[in-house]
Amino acid sequence: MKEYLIQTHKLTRSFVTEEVETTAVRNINLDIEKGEFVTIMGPSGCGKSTLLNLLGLIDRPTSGEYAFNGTGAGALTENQMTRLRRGNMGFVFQNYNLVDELNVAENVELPLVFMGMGRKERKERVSEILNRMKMGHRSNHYPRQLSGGQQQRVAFARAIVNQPLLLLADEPTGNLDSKNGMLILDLLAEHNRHGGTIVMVTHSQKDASYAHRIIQLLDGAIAS
Amino acid sequence: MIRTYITIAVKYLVRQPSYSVLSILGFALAFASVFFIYSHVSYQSSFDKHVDTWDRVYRLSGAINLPDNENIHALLGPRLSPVMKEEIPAIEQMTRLLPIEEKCIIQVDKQVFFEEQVYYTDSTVFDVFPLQFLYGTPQEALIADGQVVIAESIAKKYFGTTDAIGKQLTLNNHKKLEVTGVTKDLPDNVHHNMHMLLSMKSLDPDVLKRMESGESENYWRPSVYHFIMLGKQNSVDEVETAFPAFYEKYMDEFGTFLKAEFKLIITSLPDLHFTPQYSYDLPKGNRTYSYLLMAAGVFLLLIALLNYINLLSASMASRTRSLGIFKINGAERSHVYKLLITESLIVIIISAGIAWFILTGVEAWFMEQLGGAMLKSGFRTGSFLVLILLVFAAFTLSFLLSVLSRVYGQPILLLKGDAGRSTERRRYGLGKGSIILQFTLSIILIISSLLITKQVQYLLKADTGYNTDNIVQVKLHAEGLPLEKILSFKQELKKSPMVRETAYSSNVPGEALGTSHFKLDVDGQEASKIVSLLAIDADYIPLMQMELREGRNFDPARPTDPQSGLILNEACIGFLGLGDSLVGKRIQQIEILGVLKSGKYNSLHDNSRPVALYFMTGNRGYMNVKLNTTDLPGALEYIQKSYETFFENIPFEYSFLDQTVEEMYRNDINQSKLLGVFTILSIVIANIGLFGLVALLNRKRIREIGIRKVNGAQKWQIVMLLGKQLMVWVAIAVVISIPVTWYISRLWLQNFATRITFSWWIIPLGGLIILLSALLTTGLMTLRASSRNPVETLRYE
Repeated sequence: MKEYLIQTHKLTRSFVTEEVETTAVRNINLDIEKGEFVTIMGPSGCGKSTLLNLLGLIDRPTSGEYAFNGTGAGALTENQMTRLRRGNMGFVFQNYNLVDELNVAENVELPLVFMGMGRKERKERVSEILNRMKMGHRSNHYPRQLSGGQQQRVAFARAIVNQPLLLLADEPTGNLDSKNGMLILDLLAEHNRHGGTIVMVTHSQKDASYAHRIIQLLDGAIAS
Repeated sequence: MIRTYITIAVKYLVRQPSYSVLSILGFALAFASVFFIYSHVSYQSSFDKHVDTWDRVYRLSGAINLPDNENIHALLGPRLSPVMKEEIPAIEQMTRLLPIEEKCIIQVDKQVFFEEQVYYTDSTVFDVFPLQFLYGTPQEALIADGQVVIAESIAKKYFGTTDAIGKQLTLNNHKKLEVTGVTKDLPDNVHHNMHMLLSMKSLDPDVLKRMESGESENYWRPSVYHFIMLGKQNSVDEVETAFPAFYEKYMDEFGTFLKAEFKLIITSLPDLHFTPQYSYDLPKGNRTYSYLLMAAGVFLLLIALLNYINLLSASMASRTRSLGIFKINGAERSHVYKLLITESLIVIIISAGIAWFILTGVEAWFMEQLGGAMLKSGFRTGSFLVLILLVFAAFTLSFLLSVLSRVYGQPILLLKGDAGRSTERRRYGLGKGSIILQFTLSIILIISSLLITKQVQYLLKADTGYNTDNIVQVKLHAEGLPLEKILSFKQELKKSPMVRETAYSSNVPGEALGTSHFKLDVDGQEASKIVSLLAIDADYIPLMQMELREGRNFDPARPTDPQSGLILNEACIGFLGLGDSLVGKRIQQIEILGVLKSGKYNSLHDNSRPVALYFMTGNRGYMNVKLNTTDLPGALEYIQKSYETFFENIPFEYSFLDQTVEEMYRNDINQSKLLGVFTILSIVIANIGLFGLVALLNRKRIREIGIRKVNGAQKWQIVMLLGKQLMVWVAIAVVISIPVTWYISRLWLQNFATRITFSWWIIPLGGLIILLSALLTTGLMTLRASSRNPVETLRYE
């Protein structure tokens, strides 16, 4: 029997400005199994990132339903959404999104802090994951002291430090050169091999080839 | 968890130095001001609370109403309180303080000291004022002739030790006294300083006998301060209810004779220092100033909090991204609040610490300015309590703020550094509102401060009818010495080319003058008037450059002038009811020789009092010396040398007339200075907040500026555009401040009988000061924003 991590039904997200209504994501029906590596592709403005944000519970749908790991997310309050996200999801962004004021170790530690994990255990986890990313020697550095590739590795470490069920990646190689891009994709693939579920948005065919399944979006709807 | 919050907060503060420094600076300045004001006000409000009995002890004064003049006397007849105690059961104990006029000369071996506020008192004084005895006992200290109780500081000054029991001293060259008690020093904030108390029995036996005789006048004649202590269960009402019967029995006889009504005034100890100035009383404080300063403190605190809100709002724009990252990584709303609160607390604690340093740094300066040790007592009593309150207030407000500013938007919007237009607009609206409020508060302070300064200047420059320049007043303590010595001293001084003129007067302006009752014939009716008296010689009026509106000066060539001539000041016209032209008229056989133009001898907090000048040279008072030179040290040295040849063993004491006049308004001058300092601080703090807001505003408008420049706007037009907005805010603030300022100034000016009229130009001036300071603060920043390359600013979006 298939075990779904993500199930959506007619998921729709519209943005309303003063006079114009734009529907970024339209009637998406999407099921993703645990352990799957799925890529979302499509031209600029087709709603890829919006969909990813909806799946990552950092944005709310205008209509439709979304169940994450069997829990309906439609009626959740902000704090309930945060709690569902916490420990279950990790994010990697194109622009890394590290906190400039915090050093590498503190950035990686963030999800564990908000989970309420004890200091000692946090330190162990952070140190272990940074070593795995070959960033252990940089743990006291600040983001501005790192290259793009290094920053993205830190962001990746932070995304998986709490061993999430779902890893969401929004064009993770978009700002990187090909060598560093490969490195990140290898890390994603490895995470997937260890059972992690991944949804990745990308423009790149090459990146997409790492995935089990590719979903093509066009004007907010699934084209194929 | 808390450790992480602290780490994050500290790191943020370190990484945003301009935000941190401005926030901390604003708070530190406000906290320092509030600590100071708290100390000052607590010093004022703890006046005369130094004894445990303070809530049961009252001083008696009397309003003596003659048909057309009321006079409240702090001194009353010596029989009043002893007999009241016998007759009115609510009074548990009484005591009297009989002041020795002016300064006393105290001789200890060969040393000579001057001492003020020396009192003869009853042995019951220590029941009513339980002072702490270091040596001797209160029961035996003041029961016999020749006993004196001194404070420890006096003991150290005279004898070099606090254990002075049995030591001898001489009062005013003749009365031998023995120290029978040494008390702990009283704090500075007491109305009657009891540092030297003589037993009542040390009085001249004749005087003592006269004091104790039972005639009705002995309840009226102003000579002693009376204090009563009520029983623990009794109230003032009981004394007031019982008094009419007492009056009927003992005082009515002399009242009928005077044609006067008597109203007993019972003042509690803590109020004593703050009641209006009564005749024969010691200088008073003014609670209005305390209220003004408290208001200034609240304003400053409010301004600093608003300032912090503005800075925090401005900084929010740059930190939404990191908050978004926190949220995506699992931070709940409460986490974000705790983070912001931790940061606020750190800012507040650091500010409080710096405030403490600022305060200790400027304490000496303030003490010098205000001439007192008033800070210390306040600090001891509970600045920490205030600190905690402040922290709490700021804490609550920052919490409210974090709710208000809705940092918790959609995390994805935060991540994009865009908290949504409505949030941005709300934040800007909040900032705008708080800046207008800050401006309003600052303008109120500026206007109040200007008004007070103007009033004080007005008092100092008011036409008193005499010229205060270059006059040295040499104190004469020549009691027991022949009058010729004083006359010779006067002649000796005149020999120097440095001296233009010399003249004797019994008092100097601002001193309590003696009074006399005169019976006059006004329109066929007998009227009784109380007039202050000043003894002068014939040289006094020319020396003071006083002008006569009618009549003539005293003439030494006319032998009748000393016995039967008076010169009146202008305040006597109308008061006496003898018509406008007084010269030639008589008061109890004494002829009115002249009337001065003006001639104001008392502080202008009150109306100018009627003064009668009579022709006499006494052996106590002042030798006024008008100098002819700018070489002050040389002149003073000459005067001192001459003095010492005539008055051996009597210390030389002098003052300048202009300073004496200034001294009458010392409290007003000090307080206006203080308010000035806090006003400037309020402007500084408000501008710090403005700086933050304009930073936010410019960021918000960066695109607009770019577009305007691309379309041909000049740099100055952009500066004008931003400046115009500032002017609108200031204008709104001015309008809001008008009614408040008008109310405050009316309230305050009522303290002065002679006062300025409210000048409306002060209001726009206040606005202008704020506008200029704001333009200065924002000018550079705005200029920079307007100078940016439009391509660069447009790319920003």
